Amino acid sequence: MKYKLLLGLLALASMKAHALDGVVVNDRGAPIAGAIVKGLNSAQAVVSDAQGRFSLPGDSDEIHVMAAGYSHRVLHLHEQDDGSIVVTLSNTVIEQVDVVGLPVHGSVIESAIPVTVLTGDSLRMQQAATLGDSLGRQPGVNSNFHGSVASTPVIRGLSGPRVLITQNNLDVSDVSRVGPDHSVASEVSTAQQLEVLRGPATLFYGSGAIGGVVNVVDNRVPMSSETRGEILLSRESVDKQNLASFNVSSGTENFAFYVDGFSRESDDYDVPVALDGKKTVVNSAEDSSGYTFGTSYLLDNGYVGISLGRLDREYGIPGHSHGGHEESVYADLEQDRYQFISELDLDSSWLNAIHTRASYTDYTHSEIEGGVVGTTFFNKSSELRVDLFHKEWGHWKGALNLHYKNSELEAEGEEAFTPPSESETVAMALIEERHFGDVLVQMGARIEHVAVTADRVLLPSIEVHGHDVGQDQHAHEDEVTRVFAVDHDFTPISVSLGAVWDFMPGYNVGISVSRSQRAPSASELLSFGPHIGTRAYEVGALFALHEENGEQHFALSDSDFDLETSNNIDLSFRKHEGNVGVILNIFYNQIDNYYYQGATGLFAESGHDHDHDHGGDDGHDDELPVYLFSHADAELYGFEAQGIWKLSERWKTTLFSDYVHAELKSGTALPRTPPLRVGADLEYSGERANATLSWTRYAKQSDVADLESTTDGYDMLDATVSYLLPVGSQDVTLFLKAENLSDTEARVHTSFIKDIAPRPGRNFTVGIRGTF
Amino acid sequence: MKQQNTMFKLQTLVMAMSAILVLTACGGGDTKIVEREPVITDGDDHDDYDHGSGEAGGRLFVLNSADLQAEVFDLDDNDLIKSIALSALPYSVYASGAYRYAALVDRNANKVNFIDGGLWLEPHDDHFHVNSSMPKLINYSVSGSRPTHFVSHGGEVAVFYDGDAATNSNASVQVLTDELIAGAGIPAEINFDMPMHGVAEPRGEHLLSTIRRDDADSTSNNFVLPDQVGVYHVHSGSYELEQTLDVNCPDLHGAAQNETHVIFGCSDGVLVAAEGENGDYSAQKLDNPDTLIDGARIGSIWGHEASEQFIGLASSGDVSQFFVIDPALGELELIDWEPLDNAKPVARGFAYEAEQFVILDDQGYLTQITSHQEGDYIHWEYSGRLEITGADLGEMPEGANFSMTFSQNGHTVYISDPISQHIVIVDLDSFEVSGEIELDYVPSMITWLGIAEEHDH
Repeated sequence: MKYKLLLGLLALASMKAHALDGVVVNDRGAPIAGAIVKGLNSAQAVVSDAQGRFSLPGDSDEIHVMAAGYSHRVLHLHEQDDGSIVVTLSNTVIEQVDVVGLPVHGSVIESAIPVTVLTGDSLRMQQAATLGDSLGRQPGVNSNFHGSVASTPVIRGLSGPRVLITQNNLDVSDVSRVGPDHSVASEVSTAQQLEVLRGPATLFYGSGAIGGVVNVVDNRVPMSSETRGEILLSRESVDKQNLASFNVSSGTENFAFYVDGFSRESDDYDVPVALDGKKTVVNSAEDSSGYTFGTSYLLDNGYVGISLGRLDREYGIPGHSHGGHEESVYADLEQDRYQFISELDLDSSWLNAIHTRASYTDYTHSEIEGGVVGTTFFNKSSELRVDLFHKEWGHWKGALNLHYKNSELEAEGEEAFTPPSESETVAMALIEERHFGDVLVQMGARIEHVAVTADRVLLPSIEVHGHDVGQDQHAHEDEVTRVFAVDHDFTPISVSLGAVWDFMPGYNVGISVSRSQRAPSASELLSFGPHIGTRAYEVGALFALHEENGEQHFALSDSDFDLETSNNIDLSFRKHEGNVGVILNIFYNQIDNYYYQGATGLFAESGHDHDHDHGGDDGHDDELPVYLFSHADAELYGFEAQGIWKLSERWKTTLFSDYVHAELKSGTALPRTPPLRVGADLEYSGERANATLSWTRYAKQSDVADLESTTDGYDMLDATVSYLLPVGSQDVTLFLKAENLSDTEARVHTSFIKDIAPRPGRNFTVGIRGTF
Repeated sequence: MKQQNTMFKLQTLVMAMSAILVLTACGGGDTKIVEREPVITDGDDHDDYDHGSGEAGGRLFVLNSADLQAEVFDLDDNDLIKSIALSALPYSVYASGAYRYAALVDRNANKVNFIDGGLWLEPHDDHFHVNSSMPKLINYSVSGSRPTHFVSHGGEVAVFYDGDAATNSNASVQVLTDELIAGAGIPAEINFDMPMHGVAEPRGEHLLSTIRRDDADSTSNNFVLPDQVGVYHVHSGSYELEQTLDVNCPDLHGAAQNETHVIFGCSDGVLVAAEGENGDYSAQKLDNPDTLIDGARIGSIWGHEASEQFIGLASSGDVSQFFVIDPALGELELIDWEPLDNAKPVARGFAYEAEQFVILDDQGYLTQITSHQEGDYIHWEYSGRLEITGADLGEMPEGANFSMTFSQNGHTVYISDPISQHIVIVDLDSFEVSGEIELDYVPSMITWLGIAEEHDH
């Protein structure tokens, strides 16, 4: 069926014969060679020649022009007089890269909602073993630092089920949203680009994106058959990490091919302070590898391609050792990912282009303790996104997005705190934009239907008790586990309205107002059991504590399962031309029915059997605090600020700061909220040598939740030096990276395990990178 | 002017935004909750972790002979998970070496079929993954003339094909593992040059098998029973005879092994084969004790990894005698199992960790024999009896009998009761009935399948 549809669309599509000619110049009138000129929403792009000339086949109403070192420009041709097109670009210090993860055109300076893109050399210099640590220094983004192995990004204080991780715009489909100790099933070393959408992005991605999106972009389904490649070898001192990665794409006239692979091996990492007598974090080693193959069929009007990827990762689970004795506790993750991506320009009477993305992912991860599998998580998911870009209608252009996602989640074993469940999402969204003179208006709406079904939700009759109770009676009576079949249906609706006003050349202000809704996730609703990753006994919102005869027990909750609703306002100011660049964002986010885990003050047996002898006096060793999901209104506000100043031809400095305040309306702070942060970079770019010196100050965090402790502030000092070797026509770069130069003890407030896993001590990385 | 214009634009914009946001209907939700049958677990059972989907208890294969159907139950909740139609009634049913498969021995059709119980461990670098799937009849079978004895040890199974003089078929042995079955592999085998009612004990690279000699040389009274034991060694998929034990075992029937010894039943005693350091075997004969009743011989033997001693059974008429066979001390000792009148054992074996030996008899009683250390000597004696059916034995359906299987991950036995048409679950620790599985047919053979737990040695 799908193929028939596709063939039909291909048949409809035919390219127009005429072309669009023009020239790209800088603000002094000199031609710019190598500028990329692209019709908006089109897969076609051309590059300007030495005289700055270009000829774009087909007919576009709007073109997008970009060149390294210059600010992007969008030209609206219906506002132009006839004649040849002259595109004038102004130089900039802000790196501008188009965001792949938005159906409308956007970059760091052009979008109403704040975005960040990390690509090229800066991505390679900042990449780490985890996605969270790779993005941890981006404005508004922190890492939840889980001992170097499972860190995921925290966007404006939100993470978990509120931050969606995607791979080429499709859900990464792992279980990293369920537990902080679960690694993200994606690899940075073979990625081309990391994109962050800060603030609600449910309009584009649905329920899981109310706090933002991190999109990992790679070239697995190649768009062109140009021969390109990259190879990287590096070694780190702090964890003896060895990394090798490569990616290559090539092809023939009609077929493009892509292959990548990586292998990473590391030991437990060293820290500046002794933990349990050792200056290493036990169970923080990693051994992972993966590969991807992809191929595309290149058409005159786009491409159609498929890819398959395999990821194997074994990583330690720090914070899982018990009573001082060390045992190997690690997770073994396997994922097979199939993606289908197609972008086709059309010339039908009402459609400009159709972008299709589909995936099937089979994910398994087992947690292994002493050689025995304790818990296994499965996630099988499939997804289909179709963006239909319509012809301009009254100068409005945009796309209708149809989205289907199905995810079957299952956990087996001693920490199977979430029952098997199936989540199915069907959604439709309309995203539109229009220029009114200097003002770009972006708006959109999305309606979604989310069904969460679980056949066997278990409510065990656990004994919960306070910790001051002296007796420890565990009557061995028959235990009754109540079983429920649960069907949740939610219909979240999200709307957003934004505008970007170019109020003078080189400056703009943006405003984005949105109301976004999220269906609570299966784990927030249905959990019941010990979760060693968070060191908590987790109970979902389906349940509530009841008191009977002075004894507390869990039963079904009487309250409604409301949608979480975010009302968010974002204001941006950007100065993007000349030698000084500034980007400022402030936001206010009021979230109604914010689902959160509250400490009940009770404790329950972890059910975690270790087969080791317990001394007679070890009381509550195997007990965990009981946290219950419930919802209340919350308020988050903060800012991100970035200033870039080009001091001279060779020297550049960047200052940045970010802050978020997050609390429930009742006045209780939300846990693990990132502290105020300020930082500065000094950058030298020579003919062959490049160097940076970076400083980041993390302030003390004393806005803490119940049962949470304050975290001291710290300074991080990092440096990089790279040298382009004079070898042939290929770019071969030798680099040296130093992190935490002052060997500071750094406890990360956003981490679940800050007490047992500080950041790594002083680390040197040496490596070589080649591109062709 | 231009500024005013822009201000107007912005104002309009903000107003439009607010209007749209206010007008937007709020999304909703709906929740349906249906309470199902609760799960009741024994409060004592804290040491086994609770697997969500049925690995903890394992599965139970139950044969419904009348309807030619196999049923598989999930022992976590005792729910039926699969009924499988069979094309022929098996002569006997056994679990495979690692308890993943039920082997259906079809003696008349000269082949063994397998049902995948659906629970198994998959080796993965330095650990195992627990896999589960729905039970199913698999498209793999092994064949040979008259498969009879099916001996499991250390993950391997030796299927002994007796051969059939009437069809000029000779005896043979095939050795199977669960991996071989899963991969539909070709088993290593031994082919003999005459039929015999024999037995083989697999021991990794070695295999001890009975050897039948020409009738002129044989010391057996019944020539179809072998009288010698050979030690075979596997070389690239086939077994070669390395050694023939120098002690004869007339009318050999019954065999068992543990880590150090292999025992065979002979009409004049038991043959003890002990493995030496170089993989060679020495043999000795323990003569029949004086306590053995006239006309009887030890014809069935049970061993267990966790027990240094073996238990053998000798029957004659209505009398069934159990003997402890201690190969280290070279002694045979009668166990007084205090049998009820006319009670004949129908099933027996060492329980999960060999701390007890249980005997199911045709009167519907389970007798418990436990071991006690007395100085250096381990002594086995009667320690209890449990009635597992209250039904009138006269109502036993024709051809049916009680059947028993041991759980391999806990101290539980499952007993099928054809009269009451149910499975009785007995907790061997407390030695009481702990549950039952109702059936609507007469169960014939049952066997436990699943993931065996390592025994503590």
